[in-house]
Amino acid sequence: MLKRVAMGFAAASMALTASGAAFAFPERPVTLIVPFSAGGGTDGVARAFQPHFGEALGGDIVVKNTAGASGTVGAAEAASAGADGYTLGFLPIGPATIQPHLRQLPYGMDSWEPVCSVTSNPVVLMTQKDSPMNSLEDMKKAVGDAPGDFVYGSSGPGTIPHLAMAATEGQLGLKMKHVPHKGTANAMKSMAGGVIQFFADTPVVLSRYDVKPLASFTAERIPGLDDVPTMKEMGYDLQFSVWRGIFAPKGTPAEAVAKLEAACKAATESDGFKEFSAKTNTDILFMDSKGFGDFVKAEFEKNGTILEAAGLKK
Amino acid sequence: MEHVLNALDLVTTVSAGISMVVGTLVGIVIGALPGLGSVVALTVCLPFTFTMEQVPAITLLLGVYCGSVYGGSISAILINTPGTPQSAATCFDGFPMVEQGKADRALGWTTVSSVIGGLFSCMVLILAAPQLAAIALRFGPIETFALITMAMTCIAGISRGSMIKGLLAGVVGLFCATVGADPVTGDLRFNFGYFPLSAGLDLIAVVVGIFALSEVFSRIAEYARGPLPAVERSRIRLPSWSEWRPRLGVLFKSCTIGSFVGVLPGTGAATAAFISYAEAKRSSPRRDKLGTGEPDGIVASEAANNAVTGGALVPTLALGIPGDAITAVMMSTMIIHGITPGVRLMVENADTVYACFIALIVINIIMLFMGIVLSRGFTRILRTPEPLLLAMVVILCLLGAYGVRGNPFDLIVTLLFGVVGYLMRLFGFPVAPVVIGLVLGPQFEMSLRQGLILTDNSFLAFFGHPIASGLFVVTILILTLPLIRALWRRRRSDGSDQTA
Repeated sequence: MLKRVAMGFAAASMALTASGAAFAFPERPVTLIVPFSAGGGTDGVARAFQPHFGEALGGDIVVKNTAGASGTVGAAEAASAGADGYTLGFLPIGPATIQPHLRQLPYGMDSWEPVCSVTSNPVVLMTQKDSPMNSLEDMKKAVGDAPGDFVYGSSGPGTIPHLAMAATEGQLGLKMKHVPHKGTANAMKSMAGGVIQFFADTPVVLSRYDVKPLASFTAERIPGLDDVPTMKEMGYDLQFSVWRGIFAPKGTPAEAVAKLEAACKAATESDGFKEFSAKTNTDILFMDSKGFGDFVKAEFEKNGTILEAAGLKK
Repeated sequence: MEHVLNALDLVTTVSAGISMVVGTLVGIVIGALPGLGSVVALTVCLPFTFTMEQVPAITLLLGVYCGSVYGGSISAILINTPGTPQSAATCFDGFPMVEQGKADRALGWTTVSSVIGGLFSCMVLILAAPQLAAIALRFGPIETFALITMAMTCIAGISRGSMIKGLLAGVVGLFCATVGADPVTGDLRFNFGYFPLSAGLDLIAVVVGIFALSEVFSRIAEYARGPLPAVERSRIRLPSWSEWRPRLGVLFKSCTIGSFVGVLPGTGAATAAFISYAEAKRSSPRRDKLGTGEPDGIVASEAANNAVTGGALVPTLALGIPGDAITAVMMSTMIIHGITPGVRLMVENADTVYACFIALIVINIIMLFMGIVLSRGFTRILRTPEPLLLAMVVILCLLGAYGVRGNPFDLIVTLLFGVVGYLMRLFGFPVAPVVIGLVLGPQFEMSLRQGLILTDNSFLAFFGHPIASGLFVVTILILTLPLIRALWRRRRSDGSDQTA
């Protein structure tokens, strides 16, 4: 009841402001919900983005961490917040387009007004550095000769490393075991210890651990990894990226979304954020509200198909 | 040698010095506040590091890390509410000492054990990081499962009073760990259609509730009992050499356990402290007195949990694999400062790595002095009017429980477990096994299921792994030795009866 009154009040005040000559936004700090704990990867990007985003918006941005259940708790909090543009979700691919396929959630694809994308990193297929396999062909032959003997790791069920490998297994017609881990670092320990042979993740992993790339899940070769063939070149329709973007709850006034979108664009072009991106190997990718919305929808459907084929879709 | 000299240059700057002192101080204070642990302390300091230079930023976080592990023991001892899960085992003997009016001695034992544990693990890190990292790599899922199984036996070791009640509490803890998403399939378990439960029960929320809040509840219930005995001198009393000498064995063993557990990714200081306490309970010459205010208990718990700090940095620095949530936060700070952790860190950033080593040693020494200076203020806590103190503890507990994930549901969990903990105390159930179950549960399940995937669901195949088999044998010995010993004794006494 109280919530309904509050929402009514918000709607009324919004109607009043909207009827005014200029749309005054933001009039108070905007909360950016990061659905993972402070100090993690997504949190780091959000906090680096925060000052530039706030400056471009002409207001203050507050980052709030709400962690738990693969980011769905924070995403649900953002989705159910007042649709006034003052509460946004800073969501990566998982809680936005994968988790809704895996379980019953209090939000779905229709809960959002996508604002913009901020970063996107490609994904590469990798194996141990000292592995005798040096190409996708080697892998196909080795795994094809011993179905069920090779093991691929992931950073958890329903993560992009899992989806990319499950899709690879399907398209290449291979049979492998899947051993999920808690996070990429733990999977890399298993890789170094010889427990798993294959893994898929962003190229930054290549510089940190003793692994080598076999193929990239991109349309074009990745700059800096020019000798690594793409899955597309090899004849497989496999494309994956790890992206993060800003989502507003459904029903956020178009004026607010437009202002946020413009501020987001300016922030992704700021020198400070570019410097952060170079230091941390985070590729900036801005998409506007419309473009990002279409992209997210396509990702949602693609991931749903893969999960269904892998027998994970609920 | 050149690296060491360069590193000395990096560490002996004014800004690095200030950040070490400030970091240690902040760590001790936040760690000492019930409910606020190492992760909270680190995340509070994290934003400041963005504008700092590389080495001061890392030394700040190292100071916070070491300080918070030590600080947690102060509230564990003085008000029986561990500031962090790591120091839960310190309560067992620390608080009884306070009840006997020996708060100054308890703080002395804690401080010295913590510093020695910390320094010991620094040495381990400096001298053997690459070799230990190689051992850590040999611990695959099956070996990890065997190790966690062995660690589970400490539930029996620390169950005071009724063994059945202790084991039952351990099972409750293990069960609580299964709430939330299945780690292998992602299915939701035991959420009863209630969305917030899908995130599982947060360890900190449970620990704060079951240890700290329940302590508040039982103090309120026993309010008529009167205040705790005041300390004669509101100061720290460092143990003398004659007190130390018989405890060197416990100390050395605890340091070793702490460093080794720290090296293995995904275990952490709470596990180390419990294992080490259980080992002291099993093998210390004064084992019968453990749990009644015996310094051995404090030494075992504190030397081990502080020894984890250096150990956990072994895989972080040598392999780029953080051992726990705390080292993961530290790693992300390094990345922001342009250092890439991982296999090439030692080669590419040797100066920085050596600077970390030197900073760790300095921080542990700073900790000793700070412990001596700060304890004057800490023992004053005991003179705070009890209603005021309890109210503060409640506020801090709820703050800490909420601060970890920012999820309001965790507040309900804390309150509920506070009530559960109180009832458990009332009916003579030990609460620590619940926490051990919850700490070890996720690792236990994950490693078992990973192992079963690898062996095509054959548990027998686990015994084909030598390290795992060895650990299983040790586990069986730990479990059966008391029985064998009792049988042996009975038979001997039977024999003597006959000859008499």
